[in-house]
Amino acid sequence: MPDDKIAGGTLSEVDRLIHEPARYNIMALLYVVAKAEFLFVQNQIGLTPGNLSAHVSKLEAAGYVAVEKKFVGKMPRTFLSLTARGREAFEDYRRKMKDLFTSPLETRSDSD
Amino acid sequence: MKSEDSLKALERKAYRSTFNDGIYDITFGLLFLVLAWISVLESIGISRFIGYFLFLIPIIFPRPAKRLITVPRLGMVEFGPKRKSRRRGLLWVVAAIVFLTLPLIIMMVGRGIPAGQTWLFVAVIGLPIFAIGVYIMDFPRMYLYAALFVFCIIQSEFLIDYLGEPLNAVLCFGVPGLIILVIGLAFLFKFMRKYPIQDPEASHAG
Repeated sequence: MPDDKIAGGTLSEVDRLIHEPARYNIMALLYVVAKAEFLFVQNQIGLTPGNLSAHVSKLEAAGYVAVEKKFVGKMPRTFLSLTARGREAFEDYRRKMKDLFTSPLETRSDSD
Repeated sequence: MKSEDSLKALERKAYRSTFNDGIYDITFGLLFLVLAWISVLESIGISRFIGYFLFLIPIIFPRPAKRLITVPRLGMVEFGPKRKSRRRGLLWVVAAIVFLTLPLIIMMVGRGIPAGQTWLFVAVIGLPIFAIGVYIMDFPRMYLYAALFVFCIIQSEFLIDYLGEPLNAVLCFGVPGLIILVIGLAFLFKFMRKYPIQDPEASHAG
């Protein structure tokens, strides 16, 4: 999925991993910031820790999100950031979705 | 599907969420109160120079407050290079304010120029620089505080003949200072209720 290089405008071509709303929100937030703590992402997106953790694990497995655990003072903190691959995938997803909505309706219905 | 604009809006929303803790509002409230206190201290015979040390309170306050109150609740975030360069710009503006106004204040006080006139001069010099700082900081509420600050200085000069010192300063800086402080505290309590401290283990998930 992340290595898909399909040009065109059908829904089946978009990255399903990013297409899920919660994961899209995570990716979008990490796209606009350099790095964010797990807690910050959780507060901004409005997910429970367990739910966010599950989504982050999937994005991490796909190589889209880097998870960095470190101590700040005596407190353990988890930082999330978008990898270069994740950034590229997000841009690609947005481009494909834009194509999907801007391309003529007939083209989409033909290919569907 | 979020457009380029909505990504910018998302970044701005994330950035501005770091201001919803009311810390900077409280800082401004303290700054106004210090201005009132300086006048009060001077009226009871304490040197204005000693009073100026009170400025350390609003200067020092934000950093530990952010570290102890905001970060454990909201989490840490590092914004992109654009914000970083804006932040560097802000530091230059703050440095410009200090280097332009501090020697002037010292010089004017040294020559025995009345405090009101000194502050009027500082306001004229500082306001444009201050406005640039607020623009760089991207914190809209602070425009209001900056405008209020200048208005209070001018009002203080007008009222000095009618009320005398320190009553004019208490009215012109103390009252707005208290109002801003209360606004800041309201933001802080709202923030603390919205973002309670979470279990570190849960925050460490992922």
